[in-house]
Amino acid sequence: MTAQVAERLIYGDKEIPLFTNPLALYLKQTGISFESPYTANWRGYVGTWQIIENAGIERLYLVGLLANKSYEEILSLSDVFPGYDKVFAHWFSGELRCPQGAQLEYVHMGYASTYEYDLLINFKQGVLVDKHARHNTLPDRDLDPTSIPAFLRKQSD
Amino acid sequence: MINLLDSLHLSWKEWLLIYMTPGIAVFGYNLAKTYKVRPSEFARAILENVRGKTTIKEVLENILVYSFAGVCILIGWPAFLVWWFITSKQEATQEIEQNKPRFYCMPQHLIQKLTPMEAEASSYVIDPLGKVPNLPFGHLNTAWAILLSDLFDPKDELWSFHIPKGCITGKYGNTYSGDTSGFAKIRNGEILAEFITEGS
Repeated sequence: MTAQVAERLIYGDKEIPLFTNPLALYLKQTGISFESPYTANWRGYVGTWQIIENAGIERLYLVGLLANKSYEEILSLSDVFPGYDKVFAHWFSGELRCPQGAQLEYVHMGYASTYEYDLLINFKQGVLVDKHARHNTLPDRDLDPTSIPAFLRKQSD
Repeated sequence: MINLLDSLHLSWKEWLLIYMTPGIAVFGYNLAKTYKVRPSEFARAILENVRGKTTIKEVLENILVYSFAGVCILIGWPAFLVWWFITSKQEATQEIEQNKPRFYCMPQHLIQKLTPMEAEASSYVIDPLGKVPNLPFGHLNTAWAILLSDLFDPKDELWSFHIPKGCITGKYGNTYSGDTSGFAKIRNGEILAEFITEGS
């Protein structure tokens, strides 16, 4: 599976990539599906999300959508949610993962690539409850000789 | 009964032929079934490219195998029928099991039985920006309506469920980064449909 195109998240004055698909649950529940236009976009859409603060509470909104109804026909947010220029993602409870910094390792699958940092933002029914950053390092792929069973080790002396 | 059989005046060869007649039918049926599921011409061409042309030795081996299988079926067709019956029953059971829908919600996640009105009572979503329809379960109202329209049998029950964050659940045994809650349609203790109100 090819690495997948990220969603976009507007947080503060920045627009950053988002490696979570908060719309997936909504689409599954309502039986809506889109056409994949290319292998890096199997889900068939790219959403733009924004965290908007009101009276000290930050909420997650879907503010833009480009969804392939067919290979040629592209739907916008107002096509999928008629009458709305923003959609409060009240169904979303979970963690948003926003990769930050340099790419440490590219993985040709989904959102599996590793970046220097991940900004992790937790939501409960669309309301931000906490956030933190995680510093990533590449897994050490050098073999630890002590982890090899004795009978497989080459005798050095 | 013995007198009746004696009165037929049949030789042992004729008796053997009578015994083997169902075996011939079983063998013929299986031969036809094997022919029906044989690889397509395209697949055979690929196999020929990979393996090389079929040798005379392989053809003879095939004839030997089919002949041996034929003799086994002709002689032991009652045992073969029993085996056939058991395996087809097992396959049917496995197919039913595999085709069963798998839900996020499992019996241990069910909380309480309630009416649709009770479920809707606390379902309205408050958003200061007004970006949610004023309907039960907000943007998920369509999905809720789908579940309600599915509650048509008098035995159907509506239950709320909650799956705590990190639980292994669902068809593929995934864990989720947040709580998952919703309502399930239950009939005779079995989960038949679900509607998720929050999850990831």
